[in-house]
Parts: sequence; C-alpha cells; structure tokens
Amino acid sequence: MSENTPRPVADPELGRIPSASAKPGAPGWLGRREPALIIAAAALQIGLLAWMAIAAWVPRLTGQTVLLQVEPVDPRDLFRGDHVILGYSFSRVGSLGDDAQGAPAYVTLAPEADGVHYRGGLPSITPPPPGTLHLRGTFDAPGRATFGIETFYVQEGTGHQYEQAVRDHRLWAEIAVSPDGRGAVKRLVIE
Amino acid sequence: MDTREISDGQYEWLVGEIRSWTALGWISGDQSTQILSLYASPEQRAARRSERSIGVLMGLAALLIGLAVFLLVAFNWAAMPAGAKLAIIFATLGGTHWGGWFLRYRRGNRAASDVLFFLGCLFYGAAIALIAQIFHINVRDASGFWWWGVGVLPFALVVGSVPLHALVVAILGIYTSATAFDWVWRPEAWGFWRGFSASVLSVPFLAALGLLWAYRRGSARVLALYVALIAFWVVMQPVAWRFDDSPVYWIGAVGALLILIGECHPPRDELALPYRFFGVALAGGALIPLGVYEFNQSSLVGVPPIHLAIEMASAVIVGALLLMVAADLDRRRTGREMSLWGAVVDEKRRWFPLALLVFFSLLGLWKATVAEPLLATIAANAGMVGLAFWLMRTGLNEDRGRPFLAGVAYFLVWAISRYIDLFGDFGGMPGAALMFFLCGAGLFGVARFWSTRKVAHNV
Repeated sequence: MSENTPRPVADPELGRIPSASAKPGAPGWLGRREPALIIAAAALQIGLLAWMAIAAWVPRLTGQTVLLQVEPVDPRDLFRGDHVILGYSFSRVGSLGDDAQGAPAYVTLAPEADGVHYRGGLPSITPPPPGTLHLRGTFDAPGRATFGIETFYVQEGTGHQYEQAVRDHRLWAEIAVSPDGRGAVKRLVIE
Repeated sequence: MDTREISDGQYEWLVGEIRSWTALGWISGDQSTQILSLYASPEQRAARRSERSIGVLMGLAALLIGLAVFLLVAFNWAAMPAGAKLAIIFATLGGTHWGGWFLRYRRGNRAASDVLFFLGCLFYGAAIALIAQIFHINVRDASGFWWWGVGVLPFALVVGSVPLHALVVAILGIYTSATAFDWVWRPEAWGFWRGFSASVLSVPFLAALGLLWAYRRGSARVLALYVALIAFWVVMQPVAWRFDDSPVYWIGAVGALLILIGECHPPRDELALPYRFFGVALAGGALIPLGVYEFNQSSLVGVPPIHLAIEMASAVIVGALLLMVAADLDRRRTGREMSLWGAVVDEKRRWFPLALLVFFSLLGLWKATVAEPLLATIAANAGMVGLAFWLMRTGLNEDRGRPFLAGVAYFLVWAISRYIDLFGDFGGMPGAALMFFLCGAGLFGVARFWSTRKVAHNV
C-alpha cells in the first residue's frame, strides 16, 4: 500500500460513503417552503375528509328515500364487531356477474303497492332510461354485485335486535337514492 | 453544520492523534479545531441520545393516544349526532396540526412538533373510519387505506420524520395486500380515481416519491422503508394479475434484481445497503424451499409455462436495462473512454447478481417445461452455497462484518436443512458427520483465506 493511500478503517460506519446524490443540511425547495407546505398538507387532509363527508351527505339530503328489504348474508358472520353486513335480493346475480366482474351494475327500483316499500330487479350492465329510479353499483365478485349500501354501523353491543329482525325477514333499510343512482343507508327499520 | 457521529472511544482516539499531529507541527491549532468540529463530541452525542429517547417516549405516547382514539371510533357512540361527530373530527385534526405547526415555527421545538404531526396523521386515519361509520360506507372496500396513505405522504415528504414515512409504508403495504387478490383489469368500467387508486397502478408512483425524497436526503433508513414497500408490491404482481399463485421463482428473481440495483450504486454507497438486504432476504428465502426435492416435485409450483416465461423474461429485461444504465452512468462519472459493452463487462461486482437473476429465470423455465425435480434441487442447493459465499466475499471485500456473518449464517442454514431432509432419512449419522465435516472444512478454508488476505492487505 502506498503512503498516500489511506488505510482501510476498521469501523464500517466510518468506511461508508454517503450517497453522492444526498444533500444533507441543504434546505432545498421543500425546506425553503416548509411552513407553507405543512399548511397545504394539513389542508389536503381536511379537504379530503370534507369531500368524503359531503359526497356521502349529499345523496341523503337530495335523494329519494325508499325502503328495501334486507336479507341475511351469512348468519355466522352477520356482525363483525360494530357493523351489520346487509344483503339484498338483487345483490345475488348468479352467473351473470362472472364475465362482468369490475363492470358497473344497474338495478331498477320498482315500488310495491303501498308506494313506500321498493324492490329491485335483476342487475344489468346497461344503464336504465333517464328518470328511472335506480341504484348504481359494481359486479365486484363472481355472482355478486354491491351498491355501497351493504354496511350499517351500530354502537358496540346494540346490534342484536337487528340480527334477530333480519332472521325473521322484518328488517328494512331506508335508502336515499340520488338521481345518478348513488345509494346511502339512512337507517334500519324493523317492521 | 451537521456533525458526523463516531463512538466515544473513536473520538478520544481522534483527539489524541490530533494532539500528536499538532505537537509535530503537521497541522495548526485552527486546523485541529476544524477537524474536530466535523465530529460530534461525547457531550453532543449524549444530548442527542437524550433527545432521541424523549422523542421515542413521546412517539409511543402519541401512538397510544392514537390507539385510544381508534378504539373510541370503534365504539361508535350512537347518542352523538352526526354533525357533532364531524365537528369533533375536524376540530381535533385541525387543532393537532396547528399545534404541530405552532411548536415548530413559534417555539422552535421540532421534536415535539414531529410527534404532534404523527399524532395528527393517526387522527386523520381515524377520521376516515369515523366518517365511514357516520355515513355507513361499505367496509369491504379497502380504499380508505389509500386515502389515508395519500393524505399522510405529503406530511412525510415535508416534515421528513422517519415515523411518518414508516406510517405511509405500513398503510400502503396493508392496502397492497388487501387489494392485490381481488384486482380486476377493467379500465373501461372505472372512473379516473377508482382506476388510479388500484394498488397495481398507484402504489409505485406514491412509493417513488418517498424513494426520491430518501435519495435527496441520503437517508438509508427511509430508503429501506420504501424499498421494502416496492419489493412487496413487485412480488405481489403475479398474484394480482392471476399469473402465478405461488410465485417462488419470481420472488427469487426480484431478490436478484434488488441485489443488482444495490451493485449499480457507487462502491460502498450506504444507499445500496437496503437493496442488498432485501434482495438477499428474497433470493435466499426463495432458494430454501427450492433446495428441497419434495418441493420441486410437488404440483404447488406448477404454473403455465407461458406465464413463467413472461415473468422471467420481464425480470431479465429489467436486469439488462439496469446494467446498461448503470454502466453508462459509470462511464460518465469516471470519464473513461470505453464502449457501453466494455463498461458493462468491466464492473465485475455486478456479475453475481446478474448470474443469480439468469439462474432463477432458467430454474423457473426448467420447472415450467422439463419439470425434472432432481436437477432443479441440485441447482438450487448450488445457488444457496453460491449466495452464502458471495455474501462472505462481499463482507471481506468491503471489510464489513454483517454481510460476512450473514453468509456464514446462510451457509449453516443450508447445511442444517440438508441434514434434516437428506441424512435424517437415509444417510444416518455417518452421512451427517461427513457433511458437517465438509462444511466445517469449507468455513475453515474461508477463515484462513480471510486471515491471509487481511495480513497481505495491511502490509
């Protein structure tokens, strides 16, 4: 080894070379604008939450309210902690959903004789004519379509009444349906 | 200026040496002060340790408070109206971030503000879950994790604390694993956000931002987090695309690619270490089952040849592109006049990961076409021994203990595995004794070689 060549250091930490691309200590573009960027990041979080809340609230305020009968999905897995999984007759699509997985699902809602309760038809990948009351969802698994109305949260320990009602076929979901087919569960009704 | 950290013993040694050099007149008093100012004194190190301990304690406190909020969310208090819940959500989130901002820029307390920002980002995740509760949004959809990750990433990039980056990686990792299995390629059915938010498309973009940040700041710890996320995402791709349910060859090839990326960094660059660590973990982990005859014989790893061919071809193409880009960068960096092919061949430390990549590709294709298990088992065992010796050799070349020890440990894993599945059944004690004797002799040879090399190196 020549005299000018530094001896290899025994400590690997000393021997490592920081990356040439690293700029530690340099404030950089991000560093110079850090206070404003932190405010922007916080505003982004608050904005996303507000958008989420508004998007969920609008159908409740503006949509038409219908009652749809709820079916038991799986009695052994009806309550998963603090929410109820809701099933509907039109969610089961048989072999129709096999080729359509991932595609939008449209189901037309027709009123019963009392004009309060509604039932859904067979889901289709074709949008219904304008002005028709319908739900828009997705064929998200073979044999199944979901419409964003399959979950209802309850306070911890208060779901047993719904569990019994759904087994007795007395449970109805009050759904707000917007003109573009978005549905939102407002409450559960036991009849 | 940031000072480099060395141990108390090293600092004392340096002070002693600098005193000697000053006494000999080799350096002036000012120069000795300047040299010492590059390194943290024992007092500064003690202060930093104390600051870190307090930070860890406050971070744990924040985590516990965050967990308490999550549990409160899970309780879902029905007596509180939706509007009041929303008001509490926004007030809590806004107040926490304002507190972090105030502590950082009005009080100058960055450690405490980091803790508050971390807590705020936990509250943000809890807020997503709470709003989903208030409006009964479907729980089957994992997109809440995506929105959580997207909301936390800007904070991680601006604030730059390791816990925030770790939070982003954990969230996106959970999202990737939750969505990879029910992914469907149906672009005509999606809106823009639903299509983009699918983990198959968006996670690499989000992780790339963290990766760029880590390179810019030279942070090997943050880089390790994002390399882990990207490696996990890449490993999941054959599953997500319904190509391969047990992608063991793909995992090995990804490991080899990661080692290759590590070797494409300049020599001894600390940012190469995360790639090498995860690469060795993946390649070494994939070789362990492949070294077992019964595994190669089973139909578990039977996938259509065309699928394996696509997987392996894509890995080799990416590897070849990496080699060329790295060789071109080497030429530019060193200013050497040579052809691109010459530059590729010249960098010998990249040969092993390249050979490992080709090895996994051939092993996969062999399984898909010939499917003869004995040769594949022997080859995988040779691969295990090769990886162990490459790690030992890398440790020797770089004078670093960890790769060397990892190589020795992997060699022992190989020896014990073979003892269990070979000599445990039909070789008996004499066979095991012979194998362990050969292993011991091999390690002894390596130790002798290292010892001789160190003596020669230090003369």
